Amino acid sequence: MKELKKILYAEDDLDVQTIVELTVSSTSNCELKVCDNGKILLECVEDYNPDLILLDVMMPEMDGPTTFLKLQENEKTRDIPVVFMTAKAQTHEIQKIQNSKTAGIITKPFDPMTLCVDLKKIWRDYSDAK
Amino acid sequence: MQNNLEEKLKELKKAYIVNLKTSILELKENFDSNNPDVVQIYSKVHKIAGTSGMYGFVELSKEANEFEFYLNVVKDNLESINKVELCKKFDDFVICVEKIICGEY
Repeated sequence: MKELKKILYAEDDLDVQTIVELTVSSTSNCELKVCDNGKILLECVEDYNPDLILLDVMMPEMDGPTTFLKLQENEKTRDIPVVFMTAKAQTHEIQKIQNSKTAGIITKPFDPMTLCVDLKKIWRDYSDAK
Repeated sequence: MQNNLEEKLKELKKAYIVNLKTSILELKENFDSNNPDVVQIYSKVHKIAGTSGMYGFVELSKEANEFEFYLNVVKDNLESINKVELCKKFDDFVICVEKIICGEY
């Protein structure tokens, strides 16, 4: 199984960005590239060629679900596993996401100490299912 | 590695409290009980709901999630908003945040 090395991440909240960056750099050997919204992520996804995409749901310019649809429409990006990050209160969003072809969901607030463990598990399960 | 992360998170937590004070002050100053800007309040509460738990503020995260859930329903039904109820829930939420900022949680 290929190791998870590169994560492309879209999130508009600077506090959350900071914590995820800190967590990934402190608890894994993964490389993380952060984008402020889905539109910016789409602009760099092909060049960056990530192993996994982490998407916040609510973002300005382009939200997570729209970004996901655009990724699916592009044959160069449709097979990159996508993990959504969404607030627990957004139960209707979570249901919609669970019905779509995403690799997994991380609910906010998440535990910074276990975020990378959860991402690697999702990656492992996704790789095993392929 | 984990200890290093814990230490850094402690520092970020201090900065988060400072930002939370500013956020709640802005919310209070901009709150108009006659014409509440539900979308703006929702946006700020959503942010607090999403970030507070990550810093270990479990009670605040719970309160923010509940208030966010309420606001999510209200913002889609603005024509039938119960302003008294909204004001009460807003005040309760602000009190909860201020208690946490003062370290009483």
